[in-house]
Amino acid sequence: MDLLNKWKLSLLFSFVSYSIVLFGIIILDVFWIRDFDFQKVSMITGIYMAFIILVMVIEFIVFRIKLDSRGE
Amino acid sequence: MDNLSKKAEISTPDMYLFDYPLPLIFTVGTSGKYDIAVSSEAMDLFDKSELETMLAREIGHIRNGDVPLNTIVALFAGSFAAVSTLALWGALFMGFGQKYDPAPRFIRFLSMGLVAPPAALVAQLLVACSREHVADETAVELTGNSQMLVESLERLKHQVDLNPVGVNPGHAHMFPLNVLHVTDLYDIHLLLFNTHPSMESRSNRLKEASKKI
Repeated sequence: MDLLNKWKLSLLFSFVSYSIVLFGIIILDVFWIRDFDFQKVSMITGIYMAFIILVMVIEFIVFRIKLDSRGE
Repeated sequence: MDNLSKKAEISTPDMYLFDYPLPLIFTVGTSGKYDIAVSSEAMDLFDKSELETMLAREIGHIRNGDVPLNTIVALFAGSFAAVSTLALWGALFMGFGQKYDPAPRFIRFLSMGLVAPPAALVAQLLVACSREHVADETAVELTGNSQMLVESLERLKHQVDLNPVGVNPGHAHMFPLNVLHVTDLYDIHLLLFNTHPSMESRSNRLKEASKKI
């Protein structure tokens, strides 16, 4: 199955895993303050996602250089 | 081992045997003291001259100074990657099912999604695949037989393909070739850990090296 040979798909699934962690953090926050503070949740999401996307862009560049040259 | 070490002009490393169903040979150590570990399956698979060739590769890694960095990378990348195994065991103990059931495997898949990219990033940034070529060439230089190394590696690959056994992906760069197998979507993160050159390029390089000899 060609799909299994795509390391980019692996990074996509990683992004989903990180998003699930963010969801957990938001749930904890909502239960902790017993309210949904949209501004606070947006701030948490913005900071978290900015960090994750930055790291994943770095990983994407490194893996593209290293793995594509080997035909992965 | 003594003869190979003398030829390579290094002190003889200690050798250890461990029981494992995959034919693995690897070297660990830092600050000048190195140990070569050989699995029981490797002892069964290889004959005397093939084993000598594979040990010559490890001696090559020692002589070329790859082992300290490989060991440190294995420590960090292996520790990261081990988190997914802990998640799997946690899921098993919490009653999500057996090892092969979808729920524990999915939990391991999610945790692997978290830890695999940083662990693989460490391995990919610090371990160059050209070091495998250099170790191969050193093995040919020490044994004077490139064909034997190609045959041993192909035999090892065949055995690994026939008998896919899980290893910590953070340690995969230490073995003679890529032993990680993607059998289904749950294992897709293992693709990120491949630090070895392809068999084709290795055998081509070895043919060129044998012509020089």
